[in-house]
Amino acid sequence: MQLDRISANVRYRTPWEGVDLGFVMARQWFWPLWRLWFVTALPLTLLAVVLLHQWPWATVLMVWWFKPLYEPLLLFWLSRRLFGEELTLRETLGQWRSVLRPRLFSNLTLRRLSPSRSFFMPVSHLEGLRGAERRKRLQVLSGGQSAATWLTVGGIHFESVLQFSFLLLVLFLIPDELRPGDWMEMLAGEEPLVTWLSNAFSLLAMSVIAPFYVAGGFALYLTRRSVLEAWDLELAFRRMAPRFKPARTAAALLLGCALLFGMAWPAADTWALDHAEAGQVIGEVLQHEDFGSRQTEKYWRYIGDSRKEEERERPQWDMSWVPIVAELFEYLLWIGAAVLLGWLLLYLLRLTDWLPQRRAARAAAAPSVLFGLPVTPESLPQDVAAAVAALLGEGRVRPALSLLYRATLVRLIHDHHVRIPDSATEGECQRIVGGQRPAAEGDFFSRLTRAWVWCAYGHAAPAADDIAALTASWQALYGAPAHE
Amino acid sequence: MLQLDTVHTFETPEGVDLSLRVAGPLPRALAWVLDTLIRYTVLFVLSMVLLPLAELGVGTFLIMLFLMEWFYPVLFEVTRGTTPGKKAMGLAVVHDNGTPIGWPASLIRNLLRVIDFFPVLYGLGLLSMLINRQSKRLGDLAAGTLVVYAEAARRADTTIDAEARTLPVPLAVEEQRALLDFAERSSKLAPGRVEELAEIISTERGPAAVQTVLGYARWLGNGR
Repeated sequence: MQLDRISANVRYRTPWEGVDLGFVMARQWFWPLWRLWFVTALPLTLLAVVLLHQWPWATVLMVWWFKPLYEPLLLFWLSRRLFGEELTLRETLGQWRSVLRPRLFSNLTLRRLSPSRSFFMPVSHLEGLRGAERRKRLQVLSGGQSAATWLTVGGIHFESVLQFSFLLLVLFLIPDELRPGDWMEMLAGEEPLVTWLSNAFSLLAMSVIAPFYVAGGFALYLTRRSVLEAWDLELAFRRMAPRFKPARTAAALLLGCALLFGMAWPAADTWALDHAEAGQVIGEVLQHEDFGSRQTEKYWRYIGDSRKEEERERPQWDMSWVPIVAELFEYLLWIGAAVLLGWLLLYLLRLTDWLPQRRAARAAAAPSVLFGLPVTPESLPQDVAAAVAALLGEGRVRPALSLLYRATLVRLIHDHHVRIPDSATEGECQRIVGGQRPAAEGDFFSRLTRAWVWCAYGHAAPAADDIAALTASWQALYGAPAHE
Repeated sequence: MLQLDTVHTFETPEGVDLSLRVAGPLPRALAWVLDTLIRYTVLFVLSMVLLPLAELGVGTFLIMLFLMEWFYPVLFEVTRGTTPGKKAMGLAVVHDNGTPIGWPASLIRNLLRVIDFFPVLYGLGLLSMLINRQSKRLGDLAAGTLVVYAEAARRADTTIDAEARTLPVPLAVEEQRALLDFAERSSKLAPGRVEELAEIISTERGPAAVQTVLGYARWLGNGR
């Protein structure tokens, strides 16, 4: 196999990510794999139905038991497809004899229940190892990770979840009038129709999960090998090599580095080695640490309790404290409820401004500057109307209007407790005043604001008469300091 | 050529490519089993303590049951980014753009568990995860979330035992990283394989080639 033709991204992966990569592969090539599974599984299913039709449960068990018969073909197709060679159904089936043969008997008997089936399959089928060599190789490849086992456990559960999901979905969708009984009863009962339906869905679930299971195991195998043999580094290095080496050596290297890993499908790659020589080389390779090593592991094992039977008797618990604690809890709850109620009342009072100190606190928090204008009582002259008239007499319209506007704001904030946030704009002030004060004041304030805004920002000074009229209104409204 | 991978790439407005390593159905199912075990253990202990306390106990237990059923994943996902079961599997939940998951998304994806659970034991959710390219269940699709591997695949500080050598050619960041990876992992690979790898980019042969490549890595590691 040639690493540079692999159609999966080679990078460092955890075993879990390896399984996930397998799921991506299965998703990508689901239909050919699914079809391939049925090609072998369907004849066997028909055979099982013919042979065992009296015992519906036995047919599905037989189909399930012969899984190792269908899976190698999927693995074979996948291993070729991954390296860019897309085999047709006919080509794949043409190889069935050599693909299925390795360890078929032991896979169908002794090792049928092996929890790492999908992960071990590439080693026996693609690497063609057997016996002790295979065992050692598996030990190295497994490397203490358990993802392969979990893949099998997960696969079994995924299958049954899918099977019962399909079945229940159908039972749910049958209208009550047409259904002979409750769906729970139907599921538990011996109704042949339901049993056969369940078997059919079991077959469907197996066929859906099989590509994912086989591809998961295969990708896990590839991931482990790519970690142990640093495939990602090899690819990266080969891409860099032409820059590190002169062209002449690089060309030779590319030839030499079309690295051939031993995938032992018949007639895959042939090497001109004579038999004895090959045997010796193989022996040397298998001696290497990569194909097996010895490790000592220590673990705890339960060897039974050394104490005598009577010593182990459980103490009788004194339960008399329970009612006391319960009562305590009850009181605590009542206290909690009372505190909560009190807090709610207080909160309500604050919101509605009924607490006197709250009002004082708010007055203290009144803004001192609004849009750059000082709005404290101290900043105003004693007689505002007179000061405005004096400024107007000097022809200083802007300061006069500004003073009038400020004086109005000060009166509103401090005497009439109008709440104006210090971030308010002139327009917002106008809205607030319009909403909180009588119509006369609101009307006056909007006229004043309009005049002030035109003057301040539009540089359009109002006629002196208008200002005089505003001053008169002001005098009427706020002339005498009001105390509510 | 198509390169299959589990990575979902997201390009930020700044033009940075974020790679999120999406987790598949198997680790997610195992994480769910762990979470369920944790939840039911806690509920079991609570029932031992609360149920003897007559009505108050039963009431409190029912409230706890409700909270554990609906808010256990939400609370952990929003505050920690992952539930204990997912954490044990090295997983985390993020938005599609890689940002940490917030209240709305977490609530949506966990309330929709009911739909994913239908008809039995996450049947729809499993099908959806098998079909969807980013292994999303329906709740993830609705909330726009991804379950990804949280931590980097490996982190090891290694000292490189070789004399620093200047790189003969300029290298891209990924290529520099490959050299550093080589230094990091060379002790775990078979010696013959290490030499074979080193010979790809070195004109020397055998251990000398390894020393040269390790030297490049040392030079890179020193930051020049």
